[in-house]
Amino acid sequence: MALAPAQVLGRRRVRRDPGATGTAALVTGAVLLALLLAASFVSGALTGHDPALTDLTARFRPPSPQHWFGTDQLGRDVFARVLVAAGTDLPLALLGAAVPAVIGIVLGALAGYARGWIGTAVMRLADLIQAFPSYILLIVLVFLLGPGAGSFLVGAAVGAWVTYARLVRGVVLRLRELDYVRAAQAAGLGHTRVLLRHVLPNALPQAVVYAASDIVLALSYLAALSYLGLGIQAPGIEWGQMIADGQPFLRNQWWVSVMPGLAIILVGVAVRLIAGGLERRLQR
Amino acid sequence: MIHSGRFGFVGRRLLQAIPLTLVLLLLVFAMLKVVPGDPAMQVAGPRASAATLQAIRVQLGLDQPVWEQFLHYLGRIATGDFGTTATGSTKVGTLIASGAPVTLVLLAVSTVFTVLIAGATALLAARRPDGLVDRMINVMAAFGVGVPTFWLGIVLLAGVALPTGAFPIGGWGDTPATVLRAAVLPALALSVSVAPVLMASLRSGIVEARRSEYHAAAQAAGVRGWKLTRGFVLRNAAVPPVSLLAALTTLLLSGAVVVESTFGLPGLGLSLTQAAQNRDFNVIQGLTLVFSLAVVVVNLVGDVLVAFLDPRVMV
Amino acid sequence: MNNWTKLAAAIAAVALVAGCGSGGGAGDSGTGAVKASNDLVIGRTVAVDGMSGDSCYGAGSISTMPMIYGNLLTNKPDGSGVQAGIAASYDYDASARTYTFHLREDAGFSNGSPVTAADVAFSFEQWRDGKTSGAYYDMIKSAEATDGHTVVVRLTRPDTFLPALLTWCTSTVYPDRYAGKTPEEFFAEPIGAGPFAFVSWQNPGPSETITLKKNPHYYGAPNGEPHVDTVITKTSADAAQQMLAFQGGQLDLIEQLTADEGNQLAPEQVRIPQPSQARDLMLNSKRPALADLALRKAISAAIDRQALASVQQGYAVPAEGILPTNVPNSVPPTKPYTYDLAAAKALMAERADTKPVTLAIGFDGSSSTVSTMVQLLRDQLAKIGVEVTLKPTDSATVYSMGSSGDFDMLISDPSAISPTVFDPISFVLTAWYPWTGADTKLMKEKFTTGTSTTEDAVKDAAVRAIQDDAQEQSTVIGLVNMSTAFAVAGYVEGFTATPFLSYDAAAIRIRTGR
Repeated sequence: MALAPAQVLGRRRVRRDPGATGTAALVTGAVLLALLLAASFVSGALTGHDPALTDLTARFRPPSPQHWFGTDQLGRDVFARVLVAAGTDLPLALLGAAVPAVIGIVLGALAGYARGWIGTAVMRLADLIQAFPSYILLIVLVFLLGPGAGSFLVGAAVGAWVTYARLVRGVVLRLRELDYVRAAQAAGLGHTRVLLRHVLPNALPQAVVYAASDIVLALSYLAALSYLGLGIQAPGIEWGQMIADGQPFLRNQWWVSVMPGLAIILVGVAVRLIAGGLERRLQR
Repeated sequence: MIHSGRFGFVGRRLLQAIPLTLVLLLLVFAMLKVVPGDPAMQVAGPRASAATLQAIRVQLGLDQPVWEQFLHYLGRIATGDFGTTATGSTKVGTLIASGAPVTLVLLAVSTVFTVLIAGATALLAARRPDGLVDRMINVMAAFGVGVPTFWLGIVLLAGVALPTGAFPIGGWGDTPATVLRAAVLPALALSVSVAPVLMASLRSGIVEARRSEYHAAAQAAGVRGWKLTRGFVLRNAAVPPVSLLAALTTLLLSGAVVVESTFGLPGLGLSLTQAAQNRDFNVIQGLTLVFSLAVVVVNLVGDVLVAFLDPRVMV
Repeated sequence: MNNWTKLAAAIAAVALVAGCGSGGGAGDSGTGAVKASNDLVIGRTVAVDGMSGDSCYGAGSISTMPMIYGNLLTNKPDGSGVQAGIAASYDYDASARTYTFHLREDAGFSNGSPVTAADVAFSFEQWRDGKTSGAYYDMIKSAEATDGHTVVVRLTRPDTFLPALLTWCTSTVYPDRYAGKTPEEFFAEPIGAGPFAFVSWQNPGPSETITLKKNPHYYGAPNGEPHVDTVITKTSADAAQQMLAFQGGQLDLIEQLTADEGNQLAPEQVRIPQPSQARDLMLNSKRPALADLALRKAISAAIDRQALASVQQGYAVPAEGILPTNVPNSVPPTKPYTYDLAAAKALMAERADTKPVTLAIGFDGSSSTVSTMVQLLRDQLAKIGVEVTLKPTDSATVYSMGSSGDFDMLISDPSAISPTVFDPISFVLTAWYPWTGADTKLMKEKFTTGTSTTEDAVKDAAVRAIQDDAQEQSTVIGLVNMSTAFAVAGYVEGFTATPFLSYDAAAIRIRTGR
């Protein structure tokens, strides 16, 4: 995640009332995600089908009022599975973006303040990490740690913290030369308080925007890993894995693999709305 | 500015890259020692006897101390010997040599598509910022970033390649014409996810340029003050196009790994995913090295270009 | 700027149409009645293991090796036994412990030299001394060319397994002393007496392409064999994509077609041989809970094999015993498996230890049919209160878990690659029984009996005893027997699928409309 799409995506300048459109987009995106997440917890009740229940007499039913998204090769309801998979994909995508953000902010602040060997070490580590295309780093780490959600999170965290660290370090380096920060330090304010009062508020807006778009990237990486059999494994239910499972049936039973793909796109659009909205609000 | 400074900068960047690569190698090597599964068993197959297994361990050097294995590994890398694949049928060097052209062609065609799509849509979008066209392009960009590349690949295969018969359904060609034909759909799938990033950067660049003309004109017309300068002073620094290109290359490389698997292109990315699935550690080691070196080189070239183009960069 | 914008708009429009024009449009399958060229393009998912017979292990080599090298004996297409190959006939002398092979006089290598007894004698030595597969040939004491076309093979012990072994992909006939080349040189550009001659092997590995052309010196040449000019084998790990390529007319034949894929095709495009690949469940009796025979038998009784097979409709049948069916001398156990939930629950109640049971099952997660089956097993065993956790992994890890004894349950397939059931038995005997902590005494004894006799009745009795013993011990439990099917385009004629993953490529014709 060397370059978060939102870093360059949607750098918008709106002439009139940027806050209002920003808020509308933000709310729409957030509501979409929240609804999807909520639905994942009650998918059984909502769809009337147990997402894990196999029914060999009901294999490959096409979409119908009874099975909105049809059934798969084991007669499981695809709609129920798409919803319950949101409960796997969304939290993992959110964590996959949030964990590296936190790590990066802490390490970046550390590198900015402790300019000695610690700072150098952190930045050399960042160089090291950036020598890998992020997805390749992820695959190698999953290879080492074995497939699963934990490996994915570790891989995402290892790859994506660098952007945040560089951002925060830059802010720290700029701020520590400013008069009021020097004054604050001279007045006896500790590093931590300077960090909390002055550095974070300056770095946070951009970091949040990065993180929002990293959610999309994390989701697409998670789905791609699971699609290749290196991510979430059955009986866990995940969109990429569902697409892979349904791929042999693409021609005659397209719904098995197309529906989870549409779910991923929906999340992408929702997160994009949130990122765009946030950016507009922050630029106000 | 004197040129020796720039060459000095290049030299320093090169020197930085060497320990980086070494540490990368050491990390990968050390971690591979703790992965589960017996590589010898993988080579020999389930019917092999204990004696055969032992012979293979010796053959793979798995019976030596770890540090010796690492030194041995470094020595072999220095002579271009990456070992053989787990089945022993092929040298990893051969695999890399045969896969690299495929990946390079894919990257080249994708870059062309990305630049074309991004350039065209950015010009269109920047014509009237926040106009209808701009908004539509913005929505499409959101789709482009959000759509999983592998899923788009499947859909392109089933929805375009199969009904039209104009493109091979997976696989690569052996003449320039068939190679290009084989590269079109995968490159398209790849570009769709990367182009929006470039598009947004180009678009805001164009808009900025317009705006500063406007700014100058406005100033000439006597408009001044906080409102005008705010946009200038607080403006985020534009990402230099060259660094952006380097970043895009790593994005494209990541995407190529996925796309090659979806389309069955015999490139480095497909080898990597298959090696991860088959736990083929020699291949993983070799490819990790190649990919990280490629990124180091791309970043190096990017930095050097920036250094030569922009006199301010004289670290 | 305005002109630029127009140009840009035009480019964008083209790019977007290309990018978005992917909707729907299910075309015809593309498999017409004729093909323009006399080339056979084969798709498969498993790469070859190398070009030497010694390294042959997987399905890719099992199919390709015979095309290049030819065998002394070959499988009858119906899987009922062996038939003549490069050897026109053979005699077995049990008392003298010798085989005498009489070679055809018209067989020739692709470099033009005829196949002589010296070549075959050399090949026997290479097989026996092979570092990977040599152990299979350890009954061979010596091989000697007694005249230009007769080879006498002396054995260390009575053995009736050798004829089946000679059909294996490991029994590749080489020219004497590798035609003057080093083994490395030879296997980089192999010379064989099979129907096709080696041309190239591109991108060796999971996405390789192997090109072969007609061998004009093949012994079937007078009958016009092989009929096709070129064989191109394209390997891809992605079975779904191969299906699309087949439907788009870019592949003529797909090997190892699974039920999932086959059901996407028209029935006349699919060839399904008799189910002869067993899929078994191993239970580790060294684990405390599984040490209890009652639990192992309860698990076996609680498995609804009919349901497992139904997911692979038409490609799998419920298992009766642990061994593959439709292989010569494969007989079912005295009492084939039955699904009896009540009996399973009763057995659960008989357990000495009444604590709840949680067992992990290890399996190759890359196989969609195995993953599906394991999910069904989990549901079935839940009904007798056995909780199953799934541990998907890769096939290499499955084997290392097995050999190190670090497992509760494992899924694996003992398949026959030659027409004798003692082929898979040897596998169970040397690997699975020790892994699961089973008592190997009876199986060892019956294996020796079965492979040293020529009497079918004696062999059958030995096999039945092995099946019954396996059921009594219940450390290895049969689940289903599966077919390894093929997808065949409409213009391909003369293709016959054998149950042993291989087929006679020389007999295949392509209707070219000429």
